[in-house]
Parts: sequence; structure tokens; C-alpha cells
Amino acid sequence: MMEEQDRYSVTNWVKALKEGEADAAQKLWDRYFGKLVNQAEARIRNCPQGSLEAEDIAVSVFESLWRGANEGRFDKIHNRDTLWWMLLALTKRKAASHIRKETALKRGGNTTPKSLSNSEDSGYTFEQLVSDEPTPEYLVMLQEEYEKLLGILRDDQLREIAVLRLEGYTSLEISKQLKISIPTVTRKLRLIRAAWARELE
Amino acid sequence: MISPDSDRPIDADYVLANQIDLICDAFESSWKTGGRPQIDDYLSQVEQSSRPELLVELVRLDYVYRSEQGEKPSSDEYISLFPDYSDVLLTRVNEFSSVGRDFSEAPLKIGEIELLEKVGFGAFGTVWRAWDLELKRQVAVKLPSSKLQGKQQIELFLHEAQAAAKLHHPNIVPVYSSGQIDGRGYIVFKYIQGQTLRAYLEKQTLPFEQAARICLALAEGLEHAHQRGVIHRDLKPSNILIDEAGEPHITDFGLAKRIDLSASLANSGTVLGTLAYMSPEQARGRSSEIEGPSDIYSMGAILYRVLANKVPFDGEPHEVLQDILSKDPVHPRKINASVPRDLETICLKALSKHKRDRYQTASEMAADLKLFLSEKPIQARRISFLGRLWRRVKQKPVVFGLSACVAFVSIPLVWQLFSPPPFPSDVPIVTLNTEPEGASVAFIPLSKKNGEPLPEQIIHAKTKSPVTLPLEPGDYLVVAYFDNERFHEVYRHVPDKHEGIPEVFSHRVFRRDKNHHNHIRLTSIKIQNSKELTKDMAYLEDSNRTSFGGDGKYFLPQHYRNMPGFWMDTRELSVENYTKFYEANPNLRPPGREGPDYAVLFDYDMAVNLAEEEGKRLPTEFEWEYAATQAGKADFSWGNQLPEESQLIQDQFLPVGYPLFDLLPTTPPIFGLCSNVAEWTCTQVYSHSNEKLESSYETPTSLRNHRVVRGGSDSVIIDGNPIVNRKNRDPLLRSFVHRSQAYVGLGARCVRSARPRLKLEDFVSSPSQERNEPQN
Repeated sequence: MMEEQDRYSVTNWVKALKEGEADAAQKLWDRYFGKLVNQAEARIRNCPQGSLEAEDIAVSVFESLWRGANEGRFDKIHNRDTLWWMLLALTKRKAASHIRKETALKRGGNTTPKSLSNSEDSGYTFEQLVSDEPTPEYLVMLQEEYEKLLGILRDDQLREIAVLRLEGYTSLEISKQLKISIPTVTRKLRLIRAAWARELE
Repeated sequence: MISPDSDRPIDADYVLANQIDLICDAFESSWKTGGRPQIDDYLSQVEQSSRPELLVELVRLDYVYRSEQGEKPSSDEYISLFPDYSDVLLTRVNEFSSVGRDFSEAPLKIGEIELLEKVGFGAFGTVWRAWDLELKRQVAVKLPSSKLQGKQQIELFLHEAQAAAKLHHPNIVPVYSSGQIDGRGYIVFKYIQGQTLRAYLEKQTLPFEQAARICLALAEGLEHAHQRGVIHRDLKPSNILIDEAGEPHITDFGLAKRIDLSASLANSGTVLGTLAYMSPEQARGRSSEIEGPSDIYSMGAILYRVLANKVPFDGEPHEVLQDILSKDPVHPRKINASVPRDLETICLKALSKHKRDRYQTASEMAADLKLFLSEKPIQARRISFLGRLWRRVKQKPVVFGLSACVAFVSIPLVWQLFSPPPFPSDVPIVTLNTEPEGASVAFIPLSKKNGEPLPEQIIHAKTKSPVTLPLEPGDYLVVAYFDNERFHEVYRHVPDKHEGIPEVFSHRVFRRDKNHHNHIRLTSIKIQNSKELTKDMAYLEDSNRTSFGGDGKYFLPQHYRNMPGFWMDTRELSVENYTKFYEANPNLRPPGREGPDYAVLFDYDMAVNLAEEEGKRLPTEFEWEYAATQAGKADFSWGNQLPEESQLIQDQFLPVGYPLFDLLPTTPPIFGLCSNVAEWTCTQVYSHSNEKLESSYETPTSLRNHRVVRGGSDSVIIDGNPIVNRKNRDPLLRSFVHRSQAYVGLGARCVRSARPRLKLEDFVSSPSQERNEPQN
């Protein structure tokens, strides 16, 4: 039942790319993430009262990005959890609906969102997801979506796991850090994906 | 807790997944605290249909923790413990192995028989493909589950096996031998190369003629068994093997005899399949009435399954039970008009509710099937419209009788198994007492949006304590009082139905009634007298229109509030205060610095709890700011000027009640608000834009567990920097700290209300920002 949510998996998505496209995807992803991380760093520098305690749940998506990147956990596209993909897709959708609202009037409403070759539910291609320039407005929405997605989780432990995952930790590392078993981490990640996937529907 | 902010409908799968997660958390927590939780106890917490999913999760955890303790759990062990879930367990074997060691194991040997591979599973255990070394032939070996491990059980099992061994018919799987080894019974069968009828039907539909042939063969096999006094009792597609030539073979003869309905219902994840083919007399649990015609009913149900491509009755188990007893199945021809009329008649006759209306013997049924196959008129007569009407009239009282049987005989069973969500959805019923008893108790809900008390929604308990009343899940400020002197204000938490393990402190802890999941008991409240408590405290007079907040750096724009008077401690809570209450608890070591008269450094929940023990509470951030700014009139608690440099040089925090320059001129004076350690307030974080107070005051979700800390910057709180200057000691400065964090520069001090707060005006007023109005 819950396993179905794996259709949102970045890894599966990447596997589905044709030969040769995977490299291109990796480059796109790196470039995009690089930009995000730069923005994150700038934000954190400018934030006077943010106390970056390692044990705290990251209050902002920028902290998650900054920590993950600083500790070199974002090197491979395969390490990027589905959760990132979902977060980006939701932000993108939010941004698009803003733009649609603004442009629909001018163009007379002819702005059906482009559907996907591989019919992913969010309606975005991988390229569409990662090719945008992260504008300040986009970053605000990213943070809003991040807060919203953490907010719909049932308790702090789920939030903690979601954040650690976004920061690029493996299940094994999360299990050690939170002193819970690996099956529990897996189970809870599935729950998180299910909760977030509901937002994507 | 599922956020009420989400406007998405909560779907059943998601709720279930959460429920399973919480049950697993409880299971894991028991392992971690040295317990030895039993999977069975946890499995029964969800409905039948959800158990396979929960079981897989529990087994994964069980496997990890048992392996950690040096045990070597095997998949077989789990399958034998939960034979009815063997299919789901088997298909997940690979997942287990990814958790730890390889889960599969070397083949066993039983005497001269070598077990080669597991090929199936049933209600009784596992089935293996095996090789008989002596007779040099392939055989099937059935190993019962460990539920049948007792000596008496094994004997019964073997007795049944011997009865089945008497049967020799081409449509019955022959039993070669049986016995026991290592305290485990086993049966050796002929190995049938093929698949079960169930698997067969899942892949394809059978032509009607072939269906009739298969039923004919089965009826002939049944006749053979019935003549020898052996009743199958559990005839269903998964007990019928179709060999490569398409011939059916019945297996598991008589083994069902020892498996009564309740056991099978209670343990079985495949109960639906079993129920679907079960005769009314079996459904009623009348084991003495089970005879040949019971198997004939099952044959009718199997034929129905083939003709209509569905079982006669489906749905939730309790519905199926009811329908088997009281409802006529939809005629197969209504589902598929191409079903031959005679075949339908044969099927419905076999499916009659009353034994006397069915074929009396399997050979009678076989005879009709033969007639059908040779295209001759069958013996069974369709019941005419009048006949049907008459039968229905006649049946009515019986039907009612049967329903009554279900209602009374199986009520405990039915309730236990099918009573829906183990956690009733009702509002929790909360019980709370006070010491001494007989106090009035009022519950003021804390806003789910920002944690502020909502006195306009106050709920007064109708009786004196102990009180019992329904309360929505959430956090409450609970006011227990006899009069204006003898009262206490504490926090209590009412869990929602999904909340599993409570936290330890009084304001978070709850106990669920064992039998009624939504009956909650909260920690009793000790009521003390203000006269005693406040004799060393300072009273701060009430005031109207006090200024709070300031420019953008405080995340709280300047505004005005009315502040009721309150008592405040003259010093922070000390290590001595702490040890007085907790020395009995070795797990709670006083996290102080130098000695008993220094501030105790602790996280928010400990602070709240210690304040409650003291008969007091933590201040709101406004009460704290009110004191530390001389009611909004000064820059610091002592006035506007920083003292001389020499006084400010300290290389560590001082004992509570110091430094002497940091003195708020009350009687007695209050020390250390803007100098010593920073202090917790009970205010949940909410921030505002630079200029305007947001009307919603909503706490961002990521900050729900943060509280406002006052009296020191991050450098004071985190680094323990004792410096006193404008930058680090501005009393308007707000830091947000997660409730579970303890820092070297973070303590707390208590306040007590002037009187029990019950009305809106007893609380600090909501803010006003009338900039145009003249200030008082």
C-alpha cells in the first residue's frame, strides 16, 4: 500500500532516463543544488539570531541545505532523497500557480501546465524542476513549503527524520543518531513520504 | 497529531499507517527499556484486515532486537508462530535478510527425507518439497506450526493424519507417512506437481464444463472420504491441488477438525477465504452438526466461485458471517447470463442454508454433475416462485433465530475481532484529582495556533475534585482552587487517540485505562496556600497600557497591554530547589554549576515541572518583561544606566540573588533579571513582521516546540557568557529555544498569580496598537 509511494523516487526517475541522459541530469541537479546552497549560505550569514545547534531540528530549509552541503552529503544525485524531489515539486507547483494567476488574465486563461512524458503526478519534468533560477520569491516559497510539510507530520520525531534525510543522512546514520532501529527509520520515512505525497496529489 | 491546518481529507490508509507506526513505536520502546514485548499483544491492536501489514513491521523490529541480544531468529519461527500470515511473511523474507544475516537456512532432514524447498503454507504450518532418499521419490512434507507443539496437540495432529491416511482415491492427495521428530509432528504426502485451485482461479476463469468436471472429481473424492467417516471441514480452493493434467486433488483432510472457528478467526489473516466457503452450521460454531453436507456446502461455494467469478458472500468478516446465516446468494446467472441453468441449480442446491435442502450425499451431487455433463436433465429441481416464497416464509423465524445466535453466541468473538478501530473515536474522558480533594477545577484550553490560554473557552468541571469530564485532546492550563489563597495553576496534556507513549513530566504525562483506551488519568494537583508560598516573593502591582516590544530586532513590534498584578521570585530557581524535589530520582542529576545556591540549568519541561512542584509557575514573556523594564519605564531592571565597569566584570555567573547591582526596587527586591543566567518563559514563539502585529499570531510549525527565553542573548544562553552590556542584556531581546534544550546559561524563575486566573481580565490583555491615542 505505502510502497506505491516509491513512484516518487528520484532514483527510479533517474534510472528511467535514457542512456547518457543520466550524466546530464546529474549536472543539472548539481548546478541547481549549488545555487540553492549558495543562497542558503547567504541567508544564514544574514540571520542574526539563528543558533545553529547540531541537535536542533533545522528551523529553515536553508539550514538543512547548508549543513548537508557543508558536510559533503549531497555529492551524488542518488543520495538526494525523494523528499527533496517532493519539496521541490510542491514549491514549483506553488510558484507556477502564482504565475498562472498573474498571466492567465493577460493571456485569456490558456495556460494549461505541461504534462509529463513519464506522467509523474506533479506534472513536472526533472528538467523543469531543477532548471529554474532560485529567485528570492521562490526561496520564500521553498521555506513556506518546507514549514508546511514539516507541519503536517505527526510528531517531532518524524520531523527530525525528515530533516535529517533532507540533510542527506542515510537510514543507518539516522538510526544511530536517534537511537532507533533501522526498520523504524524506514517505516517512518515511508510515513513521511506518504504524508507528503498526499500534498502532491 | 495530525495537523488540523491541513485541509486534505484524512484517508483511511494514512490513518492506519500512523496507527501502525505508533504501535511499532510502543513495541520498540518496550525492547529499548529492557522489556520483552510479545508480537501477539501488539498485533491485536488493529483490525483483522490490517494485521498482516502490522505483523511485517513488528517482525522486522523483533528480528533486529532479538539479533542484538545474540539470538538467531529465523523466518520459520515467525511463520510457525503466525501460520495464517505465512504468505505475507514469506514474501517479505528477503526484506528480513537485508536487515541482518541471511534469513534462509540449510535444508533439514527428517529421517531419510531431505527437505528441499518451501513450496507453500497453510493454516497448519509450512509445506516443503522433499526427497525421500530411501524410496527415491519426490514427496511433500507438511510441518505444523509451533502452536501444535504440545504433546497432546501433536497426538491429535497425528491422529487426524492417520485417519486421512486411510483414504485412497485418485482425487485425494495420499498420505504416505506421519510421525514426529524433535518434538515436532510431520506428515509426508505425495508430491503433486501443479498449483492450488486458488492460484489457478486467480489467473484464469474456467470454462463451465471444466468447472463441472473438476467438481465431479471432487465430489467423488468426498464421497470416498465420507463413506469412511472422514469429513474435510475446510474445503476451499487453496486446499485443492490441480495437477499438470488438470485433475484436482483434495488435501488437508480432517485436519480442520481441531481448528475451531474462534481460533481460526482469531488468528487468521486468511479468514476471509476460509469464511467464504464455510457452511452455516460451521459459521454458527455448531461443531456437532458438521457432517458430510457441510463439505457439500463448501463444494457449492467453490462451484459458485467458478461460475460467478466471486465468492457467494464477501465483505467484512462479520458481514460474511451474517450473510452465510441469513442471506440467499445472488444467482450466478444474474451475474453472468451465460452460466448454464442446470449448473446454477446444482450450485444453489448445494448452497442451501439447511442441510436437508442440500444434496444428502456427495454421490448425489456427483450424479447430477454427470447428468449435466452428458447434457441430460438433472435431478435437482429449481425451486418455483411459490416454493421460494414458501421457503422464505418458513425460513423467517429460523433466520431470526440464526441472527440471534450470531448476536448472542458469538458476541464476545465478534466484538473482539470486528469491533472497529481499537481506539474509539470519542472524545477522551479525563479524570483528575487534587490534594487535598474537594477543590473546584477549571480547564483553560491553550490555543493550538500559538499556545496562548483561551480563558473565553474555559471549562468548569461540574463536581468538586476528583473530577471526570470529556475534554478535547490538547494542552490545558488547569486551575484548581478552593478560594483566592488556596489554588494552583498547572499545565496538563490530554492525548489524542493516536498518542502512544507519554512524556515523564506531570504536565505532559497521561495514563490510559487498560480497558477503555479513551479514558485518561492525569497527574493530581497539589494545592498550597499563597500566604506560605509568597512570603519571600515580590508583588508587582497591576497596570494599564504598559508598553511591550520594540523595533524589528525583537520580532515583536511595540504595543500596549494591561497587566494584572502577580508575585515574582526574587531569584532564579537554584540547584537546591532542584535537589529538594528530585534527589530521590537518580536519573535526574542536578545540572547546576558550582553549588546548591547557583541557578539550576535545565530544559523547558523540567523548568515547568519544578515550578509546579514549588506551587508556582513560569512567567509569560510579558510578565517577565514587565518586571525587567520596571513596567515598561526603564531600560533595565535596575534603571536606565549601566553600572560602573568594575561591577560588570565577572568571569562566571553568580549565585542566585546576585549581582547586587541588578536590583528591581520591589519589596523584597528582585535580583538578577538582566544579569545572571537567561530565563525561560512559558510563551510559545510567535513572531511578527517589523511593524505590525499580526492578527493571527500563529506559531510557525517549525517553532511549535520552542519557547521564548529572556534576559540574555544567544551568547549568554549558549556560551554561558556572563557579560552584562546593552547588546547582550536588553530585556526586550527574545531568544527562541527548543523546549528540550538545556544550556549553560539558561535557568528559570517562578511567578504566582495574585489569585486563580479564571476570567479574561485575570490574564495579560491582548495587545493594542493605537498609536494615535495619547499615552497614559
